[in-house]
Amino acid sequence: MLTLVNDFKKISETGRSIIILIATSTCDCFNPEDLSNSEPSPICTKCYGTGKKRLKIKTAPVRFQIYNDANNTFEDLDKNITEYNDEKMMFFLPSVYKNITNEELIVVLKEGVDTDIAEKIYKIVNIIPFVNESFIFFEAYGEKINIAPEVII
Amino acid sequence: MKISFNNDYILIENFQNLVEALVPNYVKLLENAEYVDKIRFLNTINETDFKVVCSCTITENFNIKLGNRIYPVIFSDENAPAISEPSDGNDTNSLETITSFEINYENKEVLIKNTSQESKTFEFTLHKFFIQSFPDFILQTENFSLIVEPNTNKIVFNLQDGYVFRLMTEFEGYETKIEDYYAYPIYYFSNTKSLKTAFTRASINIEAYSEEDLKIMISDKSMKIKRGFGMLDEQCRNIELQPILKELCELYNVQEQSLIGLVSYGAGEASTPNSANNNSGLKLKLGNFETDGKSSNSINISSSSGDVSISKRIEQLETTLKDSIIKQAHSVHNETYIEKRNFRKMVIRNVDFS
Repeated sequence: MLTLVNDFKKISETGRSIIILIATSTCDCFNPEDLSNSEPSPICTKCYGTGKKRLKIKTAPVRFQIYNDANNTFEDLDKNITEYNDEKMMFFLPSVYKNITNEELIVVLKEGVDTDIAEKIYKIVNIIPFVNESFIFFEAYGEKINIAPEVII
Repeated sequence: MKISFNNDYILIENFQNLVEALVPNYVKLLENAEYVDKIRFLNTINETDFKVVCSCTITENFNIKLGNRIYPVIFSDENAPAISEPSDGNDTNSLETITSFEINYENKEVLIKNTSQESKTFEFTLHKFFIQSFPDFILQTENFSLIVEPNTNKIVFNLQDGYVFRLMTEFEGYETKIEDYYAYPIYYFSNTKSLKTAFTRASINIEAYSEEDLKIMISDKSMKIKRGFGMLDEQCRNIELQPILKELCELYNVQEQSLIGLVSYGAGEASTPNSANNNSGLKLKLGNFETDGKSSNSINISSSSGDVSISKRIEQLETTLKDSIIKQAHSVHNETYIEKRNFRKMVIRNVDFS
């Protein structure tokens, strides 16, 4: 069991830090009762256009990779396997993030920059726990959402 | 727990429950006793340590609130000083100069001493908990006030076995809190060292449990045995029954904890070892990354067969314990019966029929 925990840590160290944006309360950059005249601002630094204030959690390095549907479906001749498709991503999160739900967002940061600039933001669509005795980790599937370019988190 | 302050961030180390800290509104920043929204983000370093990165320079006017507790920002001569959590739970600054609390374990009393020159009136709130439901659900709340004369000790309340008490008092704006874990196990048929060995043999990760968790487990299972078999206090103290009781108490815990770990999932891109289809070694797969499993050949996960053997052993022990309790009672009964019969005979013999 300890081997599994150590292996998970070792593998995770090869990944990168991400930021999890946890939804807290409705943002005051728009009026939720008058949506025809106001809407969440895409440049709002509290909600990033999502309408909810966010608690930012910068994680220790975690593994994540592109989720390819071709692995789970029958082969199709029309399918272009070499296509680079980052629409879906899966993240392997340790057990401390067990409270995250489908309302949260995951931000992949731009590399080689000192400030935390969002490269892509993914909305969590599914979370699958993997349990072996007391060792738990989570596989979170994210779908890419559109954001304003060069958003500083 | 250890808290260090820097100009830009607050480092919290050895935090026991990091899952709670990542919930909104658990970590808050106060400036001049008012909440301010100046936390930029939380940075988790590992499973127990995290940083609270702020969008402003931290000064001594700031306090950090973790859950229900408030920790003041204290800078010392060094750049990153550290304050440690007081071990007795008495987290106060100015109250310490006026009062001192003392726990008398012999008489099971909590005493308060007024060290100032004037008599003071303190208002207390006392929460009483079952140890099993501590600290979430309060069993009983009591409010009372005490007048303490200078340089005298006064009993605040009496401790009881099996309960946890939390004493809170407010005095001139400062709060103090005492949580006492004294004497919570009423019955204890094993010890934590032995239980840890049993967990290790059953390949259960003992790092997930603290000493207090293990003590509560032992206490719970001991009470379950005592109640389930209808044992008397004398029988609990019988040294001849202790080996059976100890083994049974440990096996109950092992069975419970191994059953929790049996649930496993096998879909998606990641996989954990499953005893049914992988007995050779432990292989962890995270997408494209996979461990070789060679380093773990010595660990054998056979949870299903192990579980059967544990339940069989528990059945044997339960039968033995039941038999021994009944036989003991029977023998005691026989003894008195024989004594009575002999006494009657003696009486009969002594009767003069003439």
